[in-house]
Amino acid sequence: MPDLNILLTLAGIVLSLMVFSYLLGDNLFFGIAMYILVGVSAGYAALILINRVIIPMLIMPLTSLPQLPAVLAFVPAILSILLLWNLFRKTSKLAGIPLGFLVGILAAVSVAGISRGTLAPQLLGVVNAFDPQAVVRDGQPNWNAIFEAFMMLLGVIAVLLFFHHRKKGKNVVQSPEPWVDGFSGVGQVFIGITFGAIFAGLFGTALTALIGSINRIIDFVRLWL
Amino acid sequence: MSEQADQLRVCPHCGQENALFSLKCIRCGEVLEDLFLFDDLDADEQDPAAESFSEVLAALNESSLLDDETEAATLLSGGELENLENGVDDSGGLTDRPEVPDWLEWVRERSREEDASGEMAKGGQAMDERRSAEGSSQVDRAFDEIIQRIREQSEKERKKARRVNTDLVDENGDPEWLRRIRELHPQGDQDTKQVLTGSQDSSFEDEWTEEELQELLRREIGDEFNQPASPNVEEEYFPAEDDEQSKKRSDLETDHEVPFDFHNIPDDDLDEFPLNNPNRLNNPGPPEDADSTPVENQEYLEGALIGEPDEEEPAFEIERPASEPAAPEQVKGEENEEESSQAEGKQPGDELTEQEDQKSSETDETKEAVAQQADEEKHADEPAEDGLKNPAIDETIPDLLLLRNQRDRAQVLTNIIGQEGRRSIPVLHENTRQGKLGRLILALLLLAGVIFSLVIGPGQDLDLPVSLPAIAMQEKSEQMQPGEVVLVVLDYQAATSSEIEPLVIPVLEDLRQRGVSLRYVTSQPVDLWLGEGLFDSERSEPTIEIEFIPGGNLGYLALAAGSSPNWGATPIEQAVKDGTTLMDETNQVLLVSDSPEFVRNWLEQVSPWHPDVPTFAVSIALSEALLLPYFESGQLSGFVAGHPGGVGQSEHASQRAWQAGTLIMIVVLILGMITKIETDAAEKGEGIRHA
Repeated sequence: MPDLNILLTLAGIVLSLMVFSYLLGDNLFFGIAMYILVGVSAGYAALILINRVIIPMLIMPLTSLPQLPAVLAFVPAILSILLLWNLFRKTSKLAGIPLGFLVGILAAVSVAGISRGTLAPQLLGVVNAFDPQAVVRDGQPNWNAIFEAFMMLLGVIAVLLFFHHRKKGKNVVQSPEPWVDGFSGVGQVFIGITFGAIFAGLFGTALTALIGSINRIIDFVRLWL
Repeated sequence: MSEQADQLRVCPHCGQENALFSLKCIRCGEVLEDLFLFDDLDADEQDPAAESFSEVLAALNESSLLDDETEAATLLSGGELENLENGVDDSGGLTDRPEVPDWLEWVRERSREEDASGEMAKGGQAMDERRSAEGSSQVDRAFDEIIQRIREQSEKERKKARRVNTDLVDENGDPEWLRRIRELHPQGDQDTKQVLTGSQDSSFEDEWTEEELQELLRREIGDEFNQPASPNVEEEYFPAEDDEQSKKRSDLETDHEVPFDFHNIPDDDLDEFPLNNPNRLNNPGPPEDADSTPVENQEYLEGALIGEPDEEEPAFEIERPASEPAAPEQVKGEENEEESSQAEGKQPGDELTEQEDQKSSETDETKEAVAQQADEEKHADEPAEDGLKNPAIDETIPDLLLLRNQRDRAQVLTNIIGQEGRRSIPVLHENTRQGKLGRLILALLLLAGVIFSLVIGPGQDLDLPVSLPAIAMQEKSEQMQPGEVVLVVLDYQAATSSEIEPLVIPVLEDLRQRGVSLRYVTSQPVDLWLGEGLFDSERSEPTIEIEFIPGGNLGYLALAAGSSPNWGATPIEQAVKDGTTLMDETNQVLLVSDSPEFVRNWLEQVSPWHPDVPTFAVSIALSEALLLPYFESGQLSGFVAGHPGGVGQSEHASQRAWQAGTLIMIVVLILGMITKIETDAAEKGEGIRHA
């Protein structure tokens, strides 16, 4: 068993080095590593789906005909066949039926979820920032909370104005008042800060993965030294 | 045999018979008529447009198609016309086929070959019917476009010829005619600029055209000429006018204010296109004795120019739609224009005479052009005076459209050939060698820093600040009671497992020690074996099954919002043990995800169905900025995101390597910003220098 661990660790190191070779450009080793990753992931996912979804949820109910669950199981079975049919007949419009079904459901769920799960709570969060109980503490104004609330309100308004007055192709929406452009610039600053934070987080994540891989390689080398 | 003979082409030089599509004679090598000769496409860059079009148009003028005899043909039905074109009448006999130029016959033959099914012929018939129905506006417009193109090409030819022939240039580069114009007006520079900007667009070439010169002359003369020397000048030249004559003369002047179709066709264009263009029917024609009185013709032309009182009025190309038949008033105006031209020829102006004498070559060319135009219109004005168009033109227009169609095809073919070997999809970023080298240096620098930090040994204890959401999560975890259920939702990939697992393992261990029951679910197949790393260590309890929920977010939504039907359980309910009661029995949800999108979808789709169940998250550093608003709004009770804010700290060496890597990246970013500022400043300075 320890031999197997060493073997797996060695394979991991080799694959990591193959991925690192991308620093020298897109080469054969990087391609091999990518194909291995994609192939193994897809194969594993296919096996899981066959064992845990297709057989128990789609095929097994069909064996219990004429019970109602078996009849209902025909619905996803037919939709699946229509979807698979597109693999053989690219121009077939039958695949549009299950795809339309899926897209329609996803769009409806997304619209409802965004409005109920993001828009309303976020706007409510801005309003709640001005809650008297939050901005007043022990009868004294809580300047930190007040400043934070106003900054939040300023950020929301400025970013909305920025997106309203941004360039749309070659057309720039001209604002009737100059102060609107000023607010739009403030919104651009807020957006820049947000993207900067996201970039920092992305870099931190990548750096952590890099450190983990290098750390494993160093530990492996130390083990043999 | 006869067909083969028809397909042979005789060399005009040596008489050798060649194949139909031969470009050169097989005996003498003489260049035969090119396939695209009519399409104005020449391989050796010599523009044959002027000569070929002049020949074409001369052939059109001489063709019997343009005679009145063909008017009857247009009145025939489509089938009869087709039979007539084929040389067969209804009785089956051959008719006298009108003499058609070789090129026209050749084009028609080509169209028949390319369109054997006759769709084009049907289209032509349909087009004729439509033209007759709609007043033939569309085809006339196309005809005008072709004529306009011919004019533009001839104008370019003339410019080139003038540029070559003009050597009368002073030390400032000003031609002689410009100096003469400047002598006419002392403050001519400013006025010249006005004329240039007012009459030309941005693509104006640095040379005066005939029209601009005439425009300038009109301005020069018009300012003085429109102001009579004395109030009685009019009476002086029209001494004994009665009211009727005065009204007639005022009508003439009104007609001259806006000439219907004064265009800038140069003189050689007039040579090339002597047809009775419907547009030209409305031109202010010269008097019939134009040949004998060239001075009057010249004055006539200038009268059309000078007669415009408004300088801002466009001086050129005031054309009436070709499809409009000439109104009787306009025809009358044309007749009157001849009289008015004679009348205006009597208008004196000694200044005008002097200035006319100063205009040398350009005006002479104009005189010849007007004289030729007068001759041409003399031959063609009989059917035009009635306001009717010549039917020969109607028959010729489809051929011209066919020519245009062939020209477009040839142009497309040329473009395709020109694109051969070129990149069809533009590349957004060209990877230059310098960019690759810089990227490699940056990566090696980062690698060296990280490796050095890891190799030099264990580091010191770091007291990193814990973020506010992490504190909130820790507080909530401490409040959990034994027996409560925490639903752990796994949704991360192998690439981020090295960041997430060190964060989530201490949290889960703490919950286990409190006696909290953990339940693992996932919708990612890869997490079925990745999740084993969470309780695979020596500290963990016996292995717990990870339940797979198909459908991703929709599967979670079905379990959270769905209800069990009376007839049994849906397949999605059979995927988990408790079916739709999964969320009902849960006291807390812990999302372990490397995707902020997944957390957001959970908060949007699933959490609203169970608002009493607090939701926590363990994610990567990328998600921190995106999850913070949900924490501020109370939708997320707490979260841990990324290495520095984690509750469970990893090894000190990794922490130091993380700091070293971050420091290197900060330095690189600062250097990059400085370099960018310098580059922008240099480009700005360069732009100012250019300006």
